Amino acid sequence: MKKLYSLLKNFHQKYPAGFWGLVILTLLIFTGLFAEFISLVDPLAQDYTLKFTPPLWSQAGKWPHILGTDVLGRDVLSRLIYGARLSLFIGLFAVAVGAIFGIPIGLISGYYGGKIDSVVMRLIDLMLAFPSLLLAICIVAILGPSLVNAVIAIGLVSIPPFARLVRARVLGEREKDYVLADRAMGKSTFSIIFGSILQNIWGPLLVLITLGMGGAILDAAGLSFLGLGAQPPTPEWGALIAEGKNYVFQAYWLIFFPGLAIFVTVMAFNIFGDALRDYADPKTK
Amino acid sequence: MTFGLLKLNFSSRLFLGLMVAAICLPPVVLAETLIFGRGGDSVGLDPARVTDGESFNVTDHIFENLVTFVPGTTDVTAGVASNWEISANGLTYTFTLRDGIKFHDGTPLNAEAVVFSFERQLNEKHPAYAFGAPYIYFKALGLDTLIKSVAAAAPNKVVFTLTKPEAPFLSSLGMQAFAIVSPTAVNKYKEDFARNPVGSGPYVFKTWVKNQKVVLEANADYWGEKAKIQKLVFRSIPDNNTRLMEMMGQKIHVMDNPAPDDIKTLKEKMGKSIQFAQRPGLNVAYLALNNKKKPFDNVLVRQAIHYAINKKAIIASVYAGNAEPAKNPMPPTLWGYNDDVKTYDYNPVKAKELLKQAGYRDGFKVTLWAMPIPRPYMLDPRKVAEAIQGDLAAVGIKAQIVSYEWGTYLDKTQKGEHDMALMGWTGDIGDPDNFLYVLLDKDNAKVPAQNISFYENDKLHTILMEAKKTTDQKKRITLYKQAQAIIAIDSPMIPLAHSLDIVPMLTTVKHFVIDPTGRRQFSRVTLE
Repeated sequence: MKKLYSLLKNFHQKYPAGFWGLVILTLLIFTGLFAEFISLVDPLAQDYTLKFTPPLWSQAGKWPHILGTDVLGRDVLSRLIYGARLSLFIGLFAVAVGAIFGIPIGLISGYYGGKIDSVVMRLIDLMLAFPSLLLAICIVAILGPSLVNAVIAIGLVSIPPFARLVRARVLGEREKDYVLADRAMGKSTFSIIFGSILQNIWGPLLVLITLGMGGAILDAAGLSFLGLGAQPPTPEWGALIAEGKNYVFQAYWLIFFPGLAIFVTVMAFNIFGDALRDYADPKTK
Repeated sequence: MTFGLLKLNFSSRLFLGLMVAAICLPPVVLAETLIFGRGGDSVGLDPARVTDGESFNVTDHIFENLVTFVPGTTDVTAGVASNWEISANGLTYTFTLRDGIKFHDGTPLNAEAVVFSFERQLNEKHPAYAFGAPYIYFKALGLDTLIKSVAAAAPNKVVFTLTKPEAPFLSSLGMQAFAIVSPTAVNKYKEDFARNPVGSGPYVFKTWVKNQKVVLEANADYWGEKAKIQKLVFRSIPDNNTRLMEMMGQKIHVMDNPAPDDIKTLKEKMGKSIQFAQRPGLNVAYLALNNKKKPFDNVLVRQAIHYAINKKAIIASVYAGNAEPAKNPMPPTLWGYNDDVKTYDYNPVKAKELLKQAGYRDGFKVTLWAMPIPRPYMLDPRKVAEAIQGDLAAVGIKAQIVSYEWGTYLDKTQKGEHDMALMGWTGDIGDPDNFLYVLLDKDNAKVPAQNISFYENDKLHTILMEAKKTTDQKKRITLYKQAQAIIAIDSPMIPLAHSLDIVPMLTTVKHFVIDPTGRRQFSRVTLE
């Protein structure tokens, strides 16, 4: 515990912005985990008498609808809170898909080189040639619109960055002394690749995972906004904005707060990721 | 630091000022062009092959019928036929055509053309039949079995012989789907006639850019009162917000299907430059339950769903109050409306009880289809679907919202691929037959169906057929009231709302008459 405290203190001193990113993310995770206890109202409960109740600080605001209600009288804050859980899940799973496929591809491609490397990397280049959101839209169009499919699509398009990064690192590592030593000791190729090498390139990977989460959340919101991700009544943030945009002249809070939530979350991931990169990179120390 | 603007010389500042003024001033719109901003594109422009208002609103300007309606009413008046005679037994109708009418391609509009227009829909062996089959409207109104023959008795005389007397027949002939088409053009373009429509109306078809606009030009050789505006543009702007902005920016003259909440916004932001035409629509929005599919084959389930849906809430929220809750599949402004049918006031407890009785204690999963574009009877279908989804969830029914592109949506619902589907109907003529028979008779439950509830009730069928035959108005009223009572108990579909038809337009638009049947007619409109 003490060790964690001093680690955090050290991190705070060196990277104050990154530290606050971490704080926001911790709060978000907490919100997501305990959505049931935090939200004051059922996010799906409709009450037409409350249609377009403005946020609490305006004159017509009503407790407990702190951030107001939508056209069906559903509580905006509760929907945002449940949306936080979804967004974190989306980020986590999408990046997991990207990492699970991307890391081994990069490791194998980088370690063996030659023909395997050429073929694999051209395929990756092919994927990178498409704008990632467009590719995700194509994948969802094939699989059908749903949140799960959106997550799969975003996961698939986040494979190339992982594969590229890992490959580049492996190219630098494979000729190093510890790898030669492993070989001389007769270790199996599998354990060299997935044991020693992976252990040594873990730092930058962690950074990519953090940054990737922010990107994945943004992409998922984009897909949901286009109607290809979360389906109603799921309160995904992008879907909330899509719903709210029809009433932008009557109820600004329907798009303002979900937009703010996405902005803050993605920014928190980014500044934390940036700080983590500097922290992990020995040269900047 | 100083602002760049302060350093500019006088002429630059003047220029900038003028630029700003030019951007802020409303754009000057040419008086010869009227732009109508609507929520969706036409499906096709062959009136015999389509069923949706977006198509008819265009074909209405290009084509004409034997009879037509007095603007703003459902009263029948002379069209291309100057007069007609009905035989005493009600089986023979003889129409006399006006002299000298020509289609836009120069083909004379004579008895032969009229016969062609009906034969191509009626007779499967007719050479032009295959170009447009199935003729959904023709079948939906039962004209395929009603009309025995259409014949030219003289170059200007057409005789219809019916298999049985039918009271609404004359009105039906005024519906857009039964317009008189140029035989030369149909034979020339075949299937593509739907993209190259040729009629005899006050406007001539010019271009159609799919999902963007249809352009019509005034017919200089029109036989009747010529159109006042040279060019009509039907722009498709599916996004409610974009359409609203276009109206506020005065880029369109008339706006169709404003989102209910936007009406207030328009009033506030546009003040004196906007006006509204308004009247209760001759329409009904409903939730069709596919009676052919489980569990909707069970009347208890259908009733349960009726109890579960909070119509008042939907109208107060999504419709912004611009509608009234429906209990019958036809609007109260129409004669023969039955106000005393079984009602289903919102009661989720009762709904649960009925579901339990039906053997669905734990509810079930269904698909709930929602239209992709605003319709006059339902301006925000997706939000209505969400409200219903919430109501159903409260009684244990899990509904998944499904949506398709408009043409596909119509096609798939007509084939019965849905469990539950939102839909609606705007009456074409002021006759209950046009609602009850079209929407719920077993004749129309065959694919491609207009009765997308796929409800088949022999007793109802007998009553509706009887009502068609009778010309005694009092008897017809009694029959239609009976029909509504049966429908209410069986609850094959859930009537949701009768919406108010509101059309915002610039104050420069004059003489626009809002039609009870929801038609948007611009032939008599002028611009100041």
